[in-house]
Amino acid sequence: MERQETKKAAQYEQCGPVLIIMPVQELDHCCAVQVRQEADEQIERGGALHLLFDFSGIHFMDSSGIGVIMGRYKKVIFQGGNIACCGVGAEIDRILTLSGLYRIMPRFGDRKEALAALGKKRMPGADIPSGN
Amino acid sequence: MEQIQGVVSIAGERQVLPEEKCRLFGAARGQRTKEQPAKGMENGVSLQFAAQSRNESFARMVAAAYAAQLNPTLEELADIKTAVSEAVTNAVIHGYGEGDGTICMRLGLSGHEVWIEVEDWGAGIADVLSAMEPMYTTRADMERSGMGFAFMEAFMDELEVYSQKNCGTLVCMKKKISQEDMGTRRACDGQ
Ligand SMILES: Nc1ncnc2c1ncn2[C@@H]1O[C@H](COP(=O)(O)OP(=O)(O)OP(=O)(O)O)[C@@H](O)[C@H]1O
Ligand SMILES: [Mg+2]
Repeated sequence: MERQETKKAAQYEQCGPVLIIMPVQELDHCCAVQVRQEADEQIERGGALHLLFDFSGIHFMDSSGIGVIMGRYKKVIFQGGNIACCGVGAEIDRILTLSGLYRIMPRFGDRKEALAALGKKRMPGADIPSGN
Repeated sequence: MEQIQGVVSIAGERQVLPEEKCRLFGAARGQRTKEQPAKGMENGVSLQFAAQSRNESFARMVAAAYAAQLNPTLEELADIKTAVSEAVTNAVIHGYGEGDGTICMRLGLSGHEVWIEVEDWGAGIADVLSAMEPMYTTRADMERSGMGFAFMEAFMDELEVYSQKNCGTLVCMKKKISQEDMGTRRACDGQ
């Protein structure tokens, strides 16, 4: 039941200007601390402009996950970047809906759709002032 | 001695509990040992664990396993897991400031309701009513979003929060488990 310290909390994949973040462990406070650190390292290393959260690897997230997403959003928005999500199951959907996160992080069916949308200048449905 | 504050929230409506009720609660809290199961409940279980972040998943799994005896739906189980995770995380982060401490979780049943208490003997909350307001957080520096109590309220049927500055916090939550009917998938039906 205890998770191993060495195990990654999420998988990362750089896709052009987009960093895909796919949590693979229940996104609670314990895991959030790890994702935050890992993601920031990846953003710095790969110079990502946009972020795509792929939730297909998890069925649990609490308010700690909201904090991680908001934190990363604040990071990329200053460079004119956007965030999006895909692979959202029923459990994660309820959290994202209740927290109002879809307003800043539009949801797509799969990675392909999300990557295509992030490639465009303005995100459909996202109420984001374009950075300058 | 700081005053005990209590707030009850039912169906999204928050109400400050009268002083007598909080005093009564305070006295009961002083007398009660950490091990005693939730009062007036059947099949009480109580669990004490170190206030460490890695115990968050442990606590919510225990609560979910306990609730399974009422044959909840997958959604009800997810609600319980989230609410417990929020309460325990708050005790770890805010109650004990990620330092040493003990958290107690008590579980009980009353008919088709699960009763869950999460208690800490940490920092306490200065203003419980404000703390329960969505988006209210004292730790924005830690990337907290202030949604913990809002989730507990949304996912449980009843929430009571008692706190006393420098003494600790007790969160009590109740969740009604729906009766079995045809067509609703139950958690124990398997994935
Ligand atoms: N057990 C506790 N002990 C002391 N203070 C607490 C406790 N639980 C909550 N609080 C206080 O209440 C505030 C609101 O709690 P809530 O869970 O709603 O938000 P948060 O923990 O700050 O953020 P989030 O839960 O979204 O990560 C906290 O910021 C903290 O000041
Ligand atoms: Mg919280």
